[in-house]
Amino acid sequence: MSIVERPTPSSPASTTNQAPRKQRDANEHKFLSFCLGAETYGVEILKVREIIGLLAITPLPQTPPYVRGVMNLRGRIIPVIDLRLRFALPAVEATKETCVIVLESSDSEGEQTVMGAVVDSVREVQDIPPSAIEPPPEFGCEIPLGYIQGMGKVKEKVILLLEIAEVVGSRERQQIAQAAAAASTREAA
Amino acid sequence: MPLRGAFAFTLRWFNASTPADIDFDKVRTMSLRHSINQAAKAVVLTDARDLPGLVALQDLLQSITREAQTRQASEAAASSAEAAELVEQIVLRQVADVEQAFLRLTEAISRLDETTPEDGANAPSLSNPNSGRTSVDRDLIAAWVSGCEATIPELEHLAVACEDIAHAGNALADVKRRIHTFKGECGVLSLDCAQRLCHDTETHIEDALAQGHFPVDAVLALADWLRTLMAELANDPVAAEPDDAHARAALRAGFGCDRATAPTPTPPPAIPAPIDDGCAIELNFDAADDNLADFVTEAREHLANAENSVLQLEKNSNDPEHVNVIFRAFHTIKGVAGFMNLVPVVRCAHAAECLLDRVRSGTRNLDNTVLDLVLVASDILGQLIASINGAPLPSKRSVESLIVRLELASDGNDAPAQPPSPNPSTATGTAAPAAAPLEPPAISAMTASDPNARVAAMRKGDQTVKVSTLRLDSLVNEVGELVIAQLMVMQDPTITAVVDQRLQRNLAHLGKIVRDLQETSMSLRMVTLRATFQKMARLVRDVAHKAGKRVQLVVEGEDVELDRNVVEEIGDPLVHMIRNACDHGIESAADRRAAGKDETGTLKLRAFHSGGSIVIEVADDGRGLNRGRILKKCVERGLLDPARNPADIPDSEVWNYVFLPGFSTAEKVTDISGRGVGMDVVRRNIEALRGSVEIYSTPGEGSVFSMRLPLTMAIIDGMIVRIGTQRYVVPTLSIERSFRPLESDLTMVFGKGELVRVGEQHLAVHRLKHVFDIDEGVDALSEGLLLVLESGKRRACVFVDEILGQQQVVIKTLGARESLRGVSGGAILGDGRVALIVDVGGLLEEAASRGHDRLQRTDSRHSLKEHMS
Repeated sequence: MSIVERPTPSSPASTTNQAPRKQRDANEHKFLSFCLGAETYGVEILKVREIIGLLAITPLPQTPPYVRGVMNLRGRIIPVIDLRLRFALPAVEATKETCVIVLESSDSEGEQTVMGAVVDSVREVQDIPPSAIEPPPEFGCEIPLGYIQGMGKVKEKVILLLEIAEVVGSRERQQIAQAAAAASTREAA
Repeated sequence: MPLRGAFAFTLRWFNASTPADIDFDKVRTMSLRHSINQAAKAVVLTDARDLPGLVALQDLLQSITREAQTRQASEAAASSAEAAELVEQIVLRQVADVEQAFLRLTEAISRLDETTPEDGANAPSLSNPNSGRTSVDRDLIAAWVSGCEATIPELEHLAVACEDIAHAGNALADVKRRIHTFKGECGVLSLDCAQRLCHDTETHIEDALAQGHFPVDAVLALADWLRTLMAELANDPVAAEPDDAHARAALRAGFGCDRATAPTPTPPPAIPAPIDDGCAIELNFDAADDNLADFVTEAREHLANAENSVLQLEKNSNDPEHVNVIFRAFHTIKGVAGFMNLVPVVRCAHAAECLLDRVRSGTRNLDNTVLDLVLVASDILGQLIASINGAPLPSKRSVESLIVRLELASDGNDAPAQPPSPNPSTATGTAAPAAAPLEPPAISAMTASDPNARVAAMRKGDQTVKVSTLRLDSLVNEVGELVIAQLMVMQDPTITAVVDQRLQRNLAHLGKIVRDLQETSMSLRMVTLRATFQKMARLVRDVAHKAGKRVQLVVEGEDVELDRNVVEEIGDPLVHMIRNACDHGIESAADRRAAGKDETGTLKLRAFHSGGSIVIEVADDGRGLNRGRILKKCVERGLLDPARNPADIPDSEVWNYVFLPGFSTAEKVTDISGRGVGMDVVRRNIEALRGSVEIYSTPGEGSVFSMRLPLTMAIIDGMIVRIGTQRYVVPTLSIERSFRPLESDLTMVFGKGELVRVGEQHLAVHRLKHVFDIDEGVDALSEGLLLVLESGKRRACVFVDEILGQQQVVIKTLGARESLRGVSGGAILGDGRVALIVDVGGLLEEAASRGHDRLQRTDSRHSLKEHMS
């Protein structure tokens, strides 16, 4: 169940083939909104590959609690994280609405990662023009806000727009840091 | 030794019949020509030790002599009589050098073949050269043709290497031997024309060498012609042999075939500048350059275009546009390569471009030499460019000799075969009559047969398609998914509850199709071991030669297919094992004689299927492993309790010590029980392939090294184990045994570490639930199962709830970038859920380090307590 037809990236030089480019431009300001508890979050629609129901997830050892494990996405094994736990929200029982957003992101080396994110429910696809997005607020430096792309204002409500590569990226960095710390304590012992 | 051995080997290798298959009695009643063919065959197949075969051959030759005498063919009779006498000498061991005698014998029979008049109407005649072959087994020809696909390029390569005689070294002898082998093989297969051509080429090589140069062009022409022949035979094993006029023209042009009438040939221009000794050229490039990849792809396209144009030109050489295409291809490659500073590429492309420029401007005729050179240039450039991606570089010699040949050709003074055209103003693009004055039919024969053959070869090439391995892998994966999906449907309770015959029948049908599809998709990645084994044949020859031993290699099962990845990985272990077997296993000829064995050692390399895996064995009939020495060494190195009675130690355990790293180095000094050199490498490589290696050895009778390998890397045979509700896959190969422990066998250490007695050993117990932090599963050891796992040096027990069953699973990556210790991947089980595949090595390491941590923590607590008290 693919939410969007991914437009094929057209070469910038081509002037004849404007349609897909327009479409891409149009999609660039579209965000998929979803709920975690009472809050509404959003991710760029271009990063969303599909939305699926919650399937059986196999836990992975030696990973932080918010890594739910791996699941079988039509023959491909993908890691699944729980966004609730990632953002330190209390865990809840899965409901009928609970689903997995399959996200695609590429890191700085251009390597693609496909990953599932468990959310309470998905809402809708919303148009949020750049003018309606405010930079992330400053809470002081204690809270890492790298994964918040901005705050979208829609109908007087605020949606936290997530930078998904950062959500995973910071997780990776964190893990590397953990592993390094573990190694150093082991060495110290 | 090598000549006869190689000879015998080559033939055995293409499954030729043994001498015993030749029914000499029957032969006698047949035509004289047939008898001679049989004799030629027997000569090639018979070994110096094969007395019955030799005696039969002698009989045959004598009968030929009589027959020839009755037909008053005195020359033939004389040759035959000479051959018969030689055989007799060999039988009676009156010859000093058996090899030499066999060579002379072969020559005598060739002479006999040439001088024999055609007999009767039923005899094969020149006008119908293939009728003699109807009796030859088609399979034999097919096998030969497929073998030649590899040997002809080798011949060409060697020939080019010989161009510089001063540095040719072994290559020279090798070329001669190969041509001789071809001759023998052609004789066996009744390819008369080919046999004669080989023979003539041999003669010419001798003549040319006497004059101090090597007739590269003649050999290359022979190779080209043989390739044409292969193309014909591949299509139709009894096809007529193609016209050899072109190849003969090359022979004659170079050396004046008819030495009686032809003027002394002008010595060909000596290849200037003895080429540098280094056999590898250097290609410096900046691997990080992004343009490089584009260059490689583009250059390949250019070369493909150029080659295509060459083929077009061969068919119809009137279109100057094709020349332009080729020119442009080389020019572009030169330009871009210059930009990237790829010097050898620039030089080759430049030389080729110069030649083509001469052709374009009309100062050089476009003839076959040019086209051949362009193809060679394209090949070498292709190799150079491929090396950017990590392929081996072509030898410096081949590059340099190509450049020289190109330069000579563009000077209009190219190969000796091509004197400058008498009329250089002949327009570009017309069929070049360069060779015409010497051999008018050559051109027509060339244009008629050669392009056809090339086209046929291309068409044949079309039957196989190059596919990127990525696509292949994804296909295999998807089929794997299909199998799982199909299983899920079949096992669905709703489906199984339905008692509808039609549905069940259709489901069964679906199942069959899916299984077939899976088999086919798996076979896509499969390649035969043939190429690997062939390399080993060469290795055996070289090692045996160096060690001064006589070793005969017997190969079996080279058609066994394995996953491409596996085949790529077993080369190294095989080399080690074979080198060991030749070096240490097989004794010297003198020792063998003393031991009452045949002086020639036999090395058997065989591959066969055995229960879902492939077994590759290297067996020698040498002295076997020296048990006593290994044990002594073990005690010296403290690997073995000296108190143990050596007689109680099972052989398998003793042989296992050979694999220990470092064991070999210690043994190197001794000359007898060595046999450990590189064995740890062997074991590690094989274990990396999820295989195992075993040794069987009997003192004085030899040893067998047996590798058991999985058919593919994509699938493993796994045990599905359960902990609580979770399932894990443990590779079956790593499980030594599993058992439910008895309370009495368990020991606690420090209240933390647990040990269990397995046989005479105490093994540490690791609970999978602890290592993997699983919250469920049984705790009491007596309620679950212990698996004895082994990986490398580590051996330990791992505790699980139960074993659910054994299953083949497709290995998948987990998609997570960081790797997890103790987990090598995931597998999708029949119900669609993911089970993690346990990496036994990593698991045991992780478990050990955790245990270590725990013990340390306990230790520190102890010390703290002591401190406080």
